[in-house]
Amino acid sequence: MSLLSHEALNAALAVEPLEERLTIMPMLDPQQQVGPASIDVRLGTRFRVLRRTDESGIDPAAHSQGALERGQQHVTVGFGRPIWLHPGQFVLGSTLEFLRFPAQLGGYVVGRSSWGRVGLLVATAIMIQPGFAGNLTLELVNQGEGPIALYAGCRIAQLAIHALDAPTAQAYTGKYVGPTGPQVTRLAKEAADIERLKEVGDRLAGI
Amino acid sequence: MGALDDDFQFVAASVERAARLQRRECRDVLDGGALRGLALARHLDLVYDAVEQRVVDRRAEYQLAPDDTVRADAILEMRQLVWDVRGFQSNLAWLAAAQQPPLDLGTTYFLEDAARALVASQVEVTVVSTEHTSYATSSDPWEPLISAWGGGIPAGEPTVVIVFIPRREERSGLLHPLIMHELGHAADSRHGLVDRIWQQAGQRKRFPKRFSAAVAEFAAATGAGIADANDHVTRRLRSWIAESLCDCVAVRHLGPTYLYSFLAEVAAGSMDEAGPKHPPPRQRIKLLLQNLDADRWTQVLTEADPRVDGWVRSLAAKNVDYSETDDFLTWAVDELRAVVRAETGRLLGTRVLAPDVAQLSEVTALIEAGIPPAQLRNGDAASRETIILACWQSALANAGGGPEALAVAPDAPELADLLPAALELSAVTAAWTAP
Repeated sequence: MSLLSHEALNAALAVEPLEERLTIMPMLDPQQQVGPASIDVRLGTRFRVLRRTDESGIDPAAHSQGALERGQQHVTVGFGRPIWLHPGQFVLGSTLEFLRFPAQLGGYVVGRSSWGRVGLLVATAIMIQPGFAGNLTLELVNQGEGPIALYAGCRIAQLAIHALDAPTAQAYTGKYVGPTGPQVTRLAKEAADIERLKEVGDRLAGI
Repeated sequence: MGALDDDFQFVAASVERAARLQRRECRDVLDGGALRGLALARHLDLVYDAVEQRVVDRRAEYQLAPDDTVRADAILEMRQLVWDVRGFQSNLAWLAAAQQPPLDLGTTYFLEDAARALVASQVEVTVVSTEHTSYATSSDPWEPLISAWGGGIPAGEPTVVIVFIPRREERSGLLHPLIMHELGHAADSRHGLVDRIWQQAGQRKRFPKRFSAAVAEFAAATGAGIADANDHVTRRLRSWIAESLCDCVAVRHLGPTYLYSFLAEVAAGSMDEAGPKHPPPRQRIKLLLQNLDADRWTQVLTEADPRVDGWVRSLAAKNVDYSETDDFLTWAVDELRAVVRAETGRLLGTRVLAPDVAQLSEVTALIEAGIPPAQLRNGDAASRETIILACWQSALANAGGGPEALAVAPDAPELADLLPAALELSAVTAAWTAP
């Protein structure tokens, strides 16, 4: 197995019939989201936040599914609106996009380095099985030292998709070209993205 | 100071306390950086301003009261006001609903978008899940009180629309299209649509004569005076016209979706009962079908579910005799259907939904594959009206088709998450790609 290239990803997204297509619904900005060998996915609007309860802990042998559910609070934020993640806080989120993998493709979801560099872990259970359908659950943890605003709709993670490999003509020309040692996050360069998210969120809210 | 004075001061202070207690929750919303319910909270704050102003005015009038009869009246009014203001606490649940909407984000976006188009560009919709058995609405509910006792609602303030949904249907996405009918009422409050239809009714050839005959008949049957009979018939007919108008707004905006939702919710409860405010469901179904046929939905209806289509058309075709005033009202609503349709067309403009078979087919294929159909192959957002219609058709088919499928389709488990997700993602896609 090898990574799908930019061209192969676009081809996989356009395959007919539907059953054999890699579906990413919606793809708001294909030019920005489909990279040399990955597809960026966005943060959704729904979250599960752990409640403070009088339980002593999580014991898979002792807790029913219902009890585990009750230990979490559902939070919905509007598109383009932030949810704040404080240091050490763990929240379940999901991709905005609904994904469906055909039988011949599998993949991995991994964080984007821009977020990793401020201490955000995005996913731990990263394997996507062939045939998977749904929004990917993201295990969001702030391992940094300050609160992070996560805007619903921001590009939070990337998919690496495996089936066949091909060299890409799309050389990487992004923000981290030629790093020499640890690089400070360039999240500030995403300010325009965030502004766009807020603008769309305002439009949805009629502002 | 006499006993009456003590009574008055005691009761007036009680009114002020009741207002003060409730104002705190408005302030929490206004000062707390809330994103939703701000206009609602401001309106409520104005209500409490108005109540306090009324107490101030009444205190001043009390000082000048010439005798105990006037003083006793003032106390009586304050006592009534205590109960009225205490009753306003039900509004606080509306504030809470604005903060924690009972509907999913996709449906919320859909309704807010429609409200901005139909009611006003500056509008705030709050959906409240209640114990009421059916859907209802209220538009700027406190405007009369704020205007009467306070300084009125400031210019530029958003219209506040409260939509009530039955608690049992919170997750019935296929019934929420009924809210479009409720937004029709809000649009009427804002734009005076029934007033315009009423004016045109008076100019129709046969209408004045039949109206006068109905008034006379009602007066003779009940012993009421002509003026009272006139008020009675007018009030009922205006209500029926409003219902007919709101049905027309909803069905022309949503196509067959509204017919299906209407049948599942309303037609199960009654068919030939003429209500004080509502025409009999059978007549409403007939008018819905006429509008759908006129908007070229006939083939889509037939192909989607021939049994449902045949059943609905047989319901509409049955002639029922209504007695006395109801006979006139059903005639009048039929007589005015073209006027209602024209007013609806003016209100909706380009939002009148036309059949788009290609889009419906593409969206249906995605639903059948279990994919929320938010975006079309060309990158455009799928129309939310088409999404809901395709979901209705899919639910009917999955439930085996026919009238019994209509009854159970709103609970289709395969659509419980898919429909809200599709509406949300479609709204996001449309807003993202908007110029």
